[in-house]
Amino acid sequence: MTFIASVIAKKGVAVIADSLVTSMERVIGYEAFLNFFRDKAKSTPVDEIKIEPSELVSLFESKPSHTKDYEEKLFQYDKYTAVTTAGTASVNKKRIEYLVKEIIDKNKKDKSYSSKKLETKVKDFAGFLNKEAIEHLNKSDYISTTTFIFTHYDKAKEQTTIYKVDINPCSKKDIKDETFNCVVVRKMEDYYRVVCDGQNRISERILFGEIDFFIDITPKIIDKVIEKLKIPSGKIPFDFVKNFMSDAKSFLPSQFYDDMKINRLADLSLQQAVDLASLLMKIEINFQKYTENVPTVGGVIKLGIIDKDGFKFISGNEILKSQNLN
Amino acid sequence: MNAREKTIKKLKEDIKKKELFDEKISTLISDLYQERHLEIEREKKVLLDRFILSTEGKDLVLENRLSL
Repeated sequence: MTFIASVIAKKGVAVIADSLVTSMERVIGYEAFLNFFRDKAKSTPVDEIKIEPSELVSLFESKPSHTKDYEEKLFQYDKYTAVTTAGTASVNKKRIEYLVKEIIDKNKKDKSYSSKKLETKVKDFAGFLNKEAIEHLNKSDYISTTTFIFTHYDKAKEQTTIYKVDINPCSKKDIKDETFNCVVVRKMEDYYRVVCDGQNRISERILFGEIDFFIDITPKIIDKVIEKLKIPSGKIPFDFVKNFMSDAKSFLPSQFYDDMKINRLADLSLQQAVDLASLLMKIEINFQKYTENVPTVGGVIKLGIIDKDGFKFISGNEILKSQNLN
Repeated sequence: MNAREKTIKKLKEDIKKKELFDEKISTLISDLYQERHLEIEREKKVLLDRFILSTEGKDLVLENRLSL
């Protein structure tokens, strides 16, 4: 896990990333394993318990096993573009750092790069990742989720554009389908003044307010209601939950939106954007201290800005005097 | 522009703003839902694919020979 964010200001953008790498493991607790069989035994009238593979697989939970420092997660992509990354540490046996540097070097050799439109640059980046992801799947049986936040500042228009480029979780089976694409690109709408990823649950709660809880819990309640009412799956309209969620604005009370801080973040100064990015990082790091969870955000915090003069690091990119000598 | 026209203009602008806000919220909810839940669904699918691949699709039998 990690925490990465881009915070848009009026005349620039702040980007931030930590450096911890967390190894995740799929585990099942013995009690959960026993409870599963207890429930199965109770609901089975005959002497044989039938288990679907999907039921067995869903027993495993993803948990952080250990963390290590240090991993580069914030890169200057070109003069006005930065890339931050959260997710897997390597793709196609290449550390993410070297993967991003490979395409940066490729771009430097491409004489037409500077004249390319932003959309083309993002498409090229996604295409490169997709090629690497497919090569990865030819050697390994799966690839786990990885997100890249592609942040660009246009100094002429004084406008920031952010894309999320996601490597979706994929298995070997997926690449047999020629229409399937491992990498998905999303241009973030203008109202996303803060775009974050990784272990960003506290930040998202702050930014999206009650909506955050609504999005998490509603699909679970709908599923439970459907199960309790014993509605056959064939009777449920296609994309019912998705459409229900999209229509939420028509029935949610307006108070739900009053608490959405993301609506009130327009026109920050660059200093405010730097401060907000740092604050979100600090909240994510500090809150871990009060929980039993393995800390997954921390290490060296790299912070950069992109403004009319281009990309520059504000902190985290220089070697400091060792604290061991104090 | 008289006072009545000004009021109507303001009202129209407010309605337009409200419509834009409603659209923005609907898209945001839909985006966040897709980002969180569809990714979870994909992860489950990948886990299942790997499980089936590792068992070569063979039947699994858990033999329980212990008596109570």
